[in-house]
Amino acid sequence: MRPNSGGQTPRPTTFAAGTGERLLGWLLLLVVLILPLCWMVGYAMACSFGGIGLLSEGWTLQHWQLALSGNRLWRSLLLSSLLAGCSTSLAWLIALWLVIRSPRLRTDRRLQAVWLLPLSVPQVVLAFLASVILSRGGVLSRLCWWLGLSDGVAGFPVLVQDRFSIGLLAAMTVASVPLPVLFMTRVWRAARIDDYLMVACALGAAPGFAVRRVAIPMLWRRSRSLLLLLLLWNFSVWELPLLLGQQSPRMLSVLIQQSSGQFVLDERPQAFVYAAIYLLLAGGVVWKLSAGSERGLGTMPESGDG
Amino acid sequence: MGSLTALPLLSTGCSDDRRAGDRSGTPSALLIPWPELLKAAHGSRVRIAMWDGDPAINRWMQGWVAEQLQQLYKIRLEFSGLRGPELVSRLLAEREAGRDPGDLDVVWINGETFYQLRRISALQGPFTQLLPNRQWIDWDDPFIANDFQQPIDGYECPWGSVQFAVIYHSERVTQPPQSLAQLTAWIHRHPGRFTWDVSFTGMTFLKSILLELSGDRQAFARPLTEALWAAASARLWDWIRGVRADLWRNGRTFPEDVSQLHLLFSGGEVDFTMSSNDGEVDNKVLQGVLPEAARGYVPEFGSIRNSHYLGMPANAPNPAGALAVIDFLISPAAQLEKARPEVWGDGSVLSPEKLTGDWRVRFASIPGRLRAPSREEMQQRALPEPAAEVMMRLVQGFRREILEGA
Amino acid sequence: MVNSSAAGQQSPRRYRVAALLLVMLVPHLLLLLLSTGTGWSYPRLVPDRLDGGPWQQLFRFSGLLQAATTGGVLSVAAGALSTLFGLLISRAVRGTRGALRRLMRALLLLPFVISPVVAGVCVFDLAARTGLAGSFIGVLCGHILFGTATAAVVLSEAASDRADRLELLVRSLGGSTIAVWRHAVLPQTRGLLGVCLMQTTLISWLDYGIVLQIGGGRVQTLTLRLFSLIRESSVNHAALAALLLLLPSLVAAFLLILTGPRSDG
Repeated sequence: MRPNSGGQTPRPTTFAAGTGERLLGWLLLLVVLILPLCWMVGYAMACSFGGIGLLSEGWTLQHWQLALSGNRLWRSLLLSSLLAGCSTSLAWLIALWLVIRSPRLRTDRRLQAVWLLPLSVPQVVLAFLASVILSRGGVLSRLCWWLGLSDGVAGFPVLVQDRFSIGLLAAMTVASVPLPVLFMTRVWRAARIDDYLMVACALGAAPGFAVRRVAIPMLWRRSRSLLLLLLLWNFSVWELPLLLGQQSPRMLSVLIQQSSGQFVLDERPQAFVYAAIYLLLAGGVVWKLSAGSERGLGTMPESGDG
Repeated sequence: MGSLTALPLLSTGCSDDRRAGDRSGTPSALLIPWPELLKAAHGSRVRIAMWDGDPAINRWMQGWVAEQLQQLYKIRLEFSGLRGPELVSRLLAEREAGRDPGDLDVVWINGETFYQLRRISALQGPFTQLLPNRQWIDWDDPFIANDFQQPIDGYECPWGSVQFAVIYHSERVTQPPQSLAQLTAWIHRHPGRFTWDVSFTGMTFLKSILLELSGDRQAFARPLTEALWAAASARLWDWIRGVRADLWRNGRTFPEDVSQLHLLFSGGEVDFTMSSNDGEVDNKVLQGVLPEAARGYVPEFGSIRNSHYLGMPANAPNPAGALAVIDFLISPAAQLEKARPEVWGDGSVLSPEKLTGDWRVRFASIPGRLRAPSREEMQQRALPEPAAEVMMRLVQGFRREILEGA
Repeated sequence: MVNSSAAGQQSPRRYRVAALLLVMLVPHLLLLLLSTGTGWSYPRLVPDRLDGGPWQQLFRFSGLLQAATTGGVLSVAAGALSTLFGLLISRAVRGTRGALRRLMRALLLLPFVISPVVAGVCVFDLAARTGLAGSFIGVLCGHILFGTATAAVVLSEAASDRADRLELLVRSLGGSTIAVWRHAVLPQTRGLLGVCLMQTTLISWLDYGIVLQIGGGRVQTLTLRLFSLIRESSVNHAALAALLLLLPSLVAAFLLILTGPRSDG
């Protein structure tokens, strides 16, 4: 999209945007983003310390102590981290395999556009599809019955709301694959990996060796920020674990939402302890991500595809 | 236009006493003759929050009820799908933010939801004395006057009266278990074929087990003490731990909602499902949700009988419209329609003794139950609903002791 | 394996695209099949009665059509406003340096990654205080929060020295702000604006968390109806709702496939 910033020319020292326009932009930033974000963090903090709330009995550390001393939060954090880590790693590996194994995918824009289809499937639909396909009464189970591979519902393994979160992990991985696929095809072009591979082969490297020592490290280095983003997205998923996950432990966003809307109102502030921890975690990761190139605000590769 | 007419009335309704959080006393805005109130409600929009987990109920509300209200009062009925806990947390957040008017006019509630909403002063009332159709209701009936042992005090209006029923597959279960010992034995003999949901219906089932294990049907009619709860709940958790290995999926997970349990039952994964509504089995078979072989019954150890109600949030934007809707929903015509097995099969809250001859005949001519014992027969095994606190402790305890202690 | 140009040349390209498309469309076809009938008892692979029930009820009780309309209006409005706001914000923060720039990046990335439902839980109080809870505008504001951040991140990619110089040129030739936008900003960002508009519209169209938390069941969109139908265990109706939900992205993807360039050349 923008020229590869290899040979940099000095930037104009004056802002192109006019003063009024910039003021409007800053005002919008304040109203649309900064204010609601500050409110979110502030409100979660205030509720978690008992500072506000109809049933609040004043500022206290009690809710934090209760939340941190129980195992609900830690189990939820562990589960969320594990599932996010596994699904992100699997998605990256699948995407890497697809991009390396399919040269056509790297050049054919239409083939790439097909990947927009799964990318635009919302989580709620994916969760529904996963349960329709993977549950014991689902399509796979029925196909197994027709093929004589199972003797009915009970003969099919539990893949949804299961103890090992297999269905959930599968759905999270499927949801995560398209983005790294599209990203890596773009990196492949932008970083001219083909040229490097040709040079490596010309210097005597075997094709497989060249891919392992040249292409994969380049793709890995350039997709680290995206992976971190993807990791956080997977850590934050809600609809998928809500429908496909087990009842305990819950993934963090489900735990927050369910704790904030439960019968036992006295435990509600604990939901905001979880929310505050989640927001701080997300803020930390985003702060780490934000140290980057001077130009764009995002994580897209420096492309030269025009 | 109707909304505009109601505007001055509503602004009076938002007077200082409501903002102060004291909801006692009927809002003065509603203390007007009924025809005038109907005039204020005419042409307005009424928003009702209800559990939306049953397609038949949704269809009836969005179809017949909405059309009748449109014809009678030109009221446009809008729906919000909110379950009890969601409703409580929403109205709590609104109270905290001082939101008045809010956006809900009528709420479908009972038990612990009523208890929590009263606790945070989120309900408006008393209002039931204003409803013309109150004349058909026997307000002295303890199953109507008390919601989970808490007097309703005019803050909610009874809408349906039901009793919990266990539903079994008559081709797979020839002798349904009657006692708790028989049920326990059946579960052990048929691993993976029994479970309950973690929502309202499943917890209602556990309450009847709790009462049976405590050995005293009136155990929770008294104010709940720590000692009483500790002793009773310990027995319940022990019973569940005793059978859990032979429950569906080894008792590590449970259906989220009764509709999921119905799905497991019709899919052949389990042999029992349940319902908070004793008349639902016929309705669900007619809908095709449950198989023809489904039969309802109440075990010898009994089942909880209770009522469900309609309330009005303290910050309801259209209280006049809300009253018109509630009054219509307890009218003989609406109650009769609701009681039909092919519609909903929900028990009427109207007292046959108080109804006029014509209506009494019509109610009596509702087709009898084909797949469940008569209401009178079932009511012989009715258990009183424990206090709302029991439900909350049960939900909390079940999560801690069973789900998280897996 | 390594050579990108030679390996795949032999096999007809259109068959590859068609084959991949078919694989990607399997879930859509399954939804279509389930939505054409009533009931789905085990072990049948097709609905019990192929009576088109859900499609017939689409125009009656299910509220799907109304929900689709509400969601459509909401997403188009959210997409347009988010793209506009995102462009203005990305241009305003473009000149920042050092720690302020890092802070801006973090601020714009945060809504990009946090869970909408958690955001909804924490921001409901603000929405209730400002009278936006349970309203179309409230949900719109929630979607704009997420859409604007996304748009600002995407549109920041449009920044280039060439673009800056072009703007300065128009300005130095006496062009007003409108002229700068007309002759420099919009032509330079047209492609990205289209992508952004599509992306932010889809974010809004597909959202459930914000609609649930801020809309509180009152603003009925397709995602809300779909979840409700899933809770009802109405498989056939839920399949229809899911299909309707996927329709816009399906159309957009097909347009891209049919009209986009075949290769990098």
